Amino acid sequence: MKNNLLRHVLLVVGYIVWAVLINALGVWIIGPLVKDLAIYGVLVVVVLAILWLTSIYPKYRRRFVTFTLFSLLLGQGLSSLAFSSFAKTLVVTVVVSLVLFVAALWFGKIRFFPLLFGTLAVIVANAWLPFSDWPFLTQFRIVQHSRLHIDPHNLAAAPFDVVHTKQGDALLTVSEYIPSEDLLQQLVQNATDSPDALQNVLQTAQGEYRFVEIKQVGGHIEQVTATAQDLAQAHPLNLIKTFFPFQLAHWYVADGEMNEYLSPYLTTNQAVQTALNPASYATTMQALSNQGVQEELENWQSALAQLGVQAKPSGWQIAGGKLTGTYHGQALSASVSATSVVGMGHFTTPSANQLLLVGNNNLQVFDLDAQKVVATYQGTPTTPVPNDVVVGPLAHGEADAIFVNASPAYILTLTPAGQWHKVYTATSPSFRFETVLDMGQGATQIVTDDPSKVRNAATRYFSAYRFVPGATEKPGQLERDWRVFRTNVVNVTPVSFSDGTEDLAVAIYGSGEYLILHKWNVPLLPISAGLFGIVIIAGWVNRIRLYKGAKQA
Amino acid sequence: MSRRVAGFGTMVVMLALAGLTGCTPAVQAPSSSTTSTAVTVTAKNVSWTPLTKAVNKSTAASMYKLESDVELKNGSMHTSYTVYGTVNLPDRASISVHENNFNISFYQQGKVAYADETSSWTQTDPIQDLRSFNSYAQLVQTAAGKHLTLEKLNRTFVVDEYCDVYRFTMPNQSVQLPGFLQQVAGNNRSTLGSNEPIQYTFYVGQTTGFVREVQTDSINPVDQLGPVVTDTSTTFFDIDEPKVAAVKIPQTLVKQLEGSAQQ
Repeated sequence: MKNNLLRHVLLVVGYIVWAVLINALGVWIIGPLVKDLAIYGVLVVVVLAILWLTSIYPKYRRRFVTFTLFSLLLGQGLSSLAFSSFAKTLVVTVVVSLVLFVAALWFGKIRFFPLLFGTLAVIVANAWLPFSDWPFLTQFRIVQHSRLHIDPHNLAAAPFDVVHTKQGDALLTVSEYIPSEDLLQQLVQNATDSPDALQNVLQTAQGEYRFVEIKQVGGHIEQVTATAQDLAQAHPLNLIKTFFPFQLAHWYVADGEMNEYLSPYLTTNQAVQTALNPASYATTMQALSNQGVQEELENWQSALAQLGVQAKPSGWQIAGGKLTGTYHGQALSASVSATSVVGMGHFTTPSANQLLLVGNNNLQVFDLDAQKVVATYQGTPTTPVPNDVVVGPLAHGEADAIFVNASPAYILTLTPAGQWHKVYTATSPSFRFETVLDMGQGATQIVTDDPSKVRNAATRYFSAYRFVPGATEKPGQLERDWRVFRTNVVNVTPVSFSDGTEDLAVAIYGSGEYLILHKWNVPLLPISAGLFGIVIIAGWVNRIRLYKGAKQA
Repeated sequence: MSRRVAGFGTMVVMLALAGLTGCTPAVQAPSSSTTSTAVTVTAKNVSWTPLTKAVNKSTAASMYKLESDVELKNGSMHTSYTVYGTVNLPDRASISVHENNFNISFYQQGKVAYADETSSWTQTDPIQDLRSFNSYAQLVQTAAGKHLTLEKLNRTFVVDEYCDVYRFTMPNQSVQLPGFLQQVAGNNRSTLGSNEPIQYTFYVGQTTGFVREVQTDSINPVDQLGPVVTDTSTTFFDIDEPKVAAVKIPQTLVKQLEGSAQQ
């Protein structure tokens, strides 16, 4: 009797483990094989499926296979519900679970209780983290997983701007909200400063944005309304780039909080006039951008003034050819022929303190001690230098390299004498550098989004490489460290919420979803692959034993 | 019996896995049927006469369609502005503009003009000057007058004919801006940003002698934002072909106006 109970408990545990394991294997091994290795991957999957199927004792095959498919279908179905409304999640979860449950009972003849616990296991695992985001687990601990309300028509993904506070970094971003009836009335009353002010207020009334920040509050990370002090340090242009210059952001203060709405920059007539002047498109866009930036920044400053703070963006800025910032506690101001600061680092030697500036189709390294530009990398009209760059060392303790996201992307290093070397050029035009993780020793992990080497598809996965230097004067190679089979990972931003921690904030393109990730080295993938191997081997051993037993009898 | 079940099971599992892991078709590059790009320089310094002749001939065209694509890149920012339109000079046009994520439709006949932004047409001011080729002509004239180097590139097929391809580089403020920007800019050129070079590529039809496509490549610095990589391409087609290039009134406008008295 007792033995029987134990058997039942073990059986239920087996169902629970298998239900979760097969979903994990689906996103960690089966999916990646197909996505990255195309037909070769499919062949491997077929071999795995045959190995697994033949390992099952024929009598149990129908039940086992049905339960596996049931778990996968349920996992996939629920995972697609991530961040739906509570009502939808509840209804769909119940309906999907019930239908699949009955189908599995009827077709697979699976016993009620094991199936019930298996179903619950999938529901719970998926509620903790949707299976579509499980790929991150092979490399990262999930510090936070949440979403911002964002209309993908306005913002393709959650924008991030890091500001430094006394407690640690705060990640500023925006989230949609619908103003209350009272607030809307107040806004309507005040919309008087231009002929289209009323229209501007009302046309976005159902989708305005409010500033939120993700930061450490009382020991854990939370999403809270942005404080005036943190907003004062922000770089507003970082938060509105995706629709620039065709839509302008407007900021206003209501109830002591800063809100944002967007409106088209050009009137209809101006947009059509622009359209009919193709000879001047490039010049027109440049003029619009310059005017738009000025307008937005003035608007930003006046909104901050209403909050009672003064714009004091953290870090270094260039405005009107003047570089300003603080170095060793001293205010520094220097004339430069550049338009923006894209990074800080140690480019010529590990001890140098330098800024990376972007000028007129060039990259400039500005030395803070010498207070002058010590090296310039010039682009050409056909291979322009974009300001989409990442800064970081190729190995711990070395000088910083510059990872340029051109098409194709490349890596530049600088000798102490100020000479440039292009040490690596990507083989795929859609290869993108995202950030660099310093592992404390040896080669750093260069985090990228890059496509499959076999498939002719532009789908990029979140990956990391280590740099292997080539022979003298020869370009080096990138060797893959890991690959997380999650696509649409954008705005990868290193952030340090408290002293000594280094996390990565990532946004998921096309949604407001974001994750805060912390690198870990738990071998989840090998463990689950091992478990799968054990299941197959145990199955085979069992079959041979039973076969022998049957023969002897 | 068990073997048959195994075979069936394998197939079911394979199909299910294929379905579950997203056996989706590969992303295809968008097919660009109308734009082409010449790449090889075939002659370093050629005469300006054929290009000048072509732009002048084009300014005389009275009806045509145009399709434009403007791509802006700054850091990871990527925005676009696209235009599709039919123009019948001097005063008829039907234009649709797609700015990033919103659409504008515009229709004009003589002094009548309507625009549609939010799926209803409203009256607007007509545009005085609908000509697109004149500013090209002015630009080419200025460039030729300065004896700039004109390169010839490999012959390239555009829309429906082979084209001779010419390329030159000019500072970006050599062109005339649309009216509303001239007023703002006026004496204050600095609001436009610095005067950077633009590389222009003109495609001249070998059969028709019209300018069929113009591309520009440039990097335009924007204060505090950094360089904006700006690529534009404009294609002209159905030039002086009344059968296909005649401006037609949009049906939605007709419907809206027909019902307007009853409302």
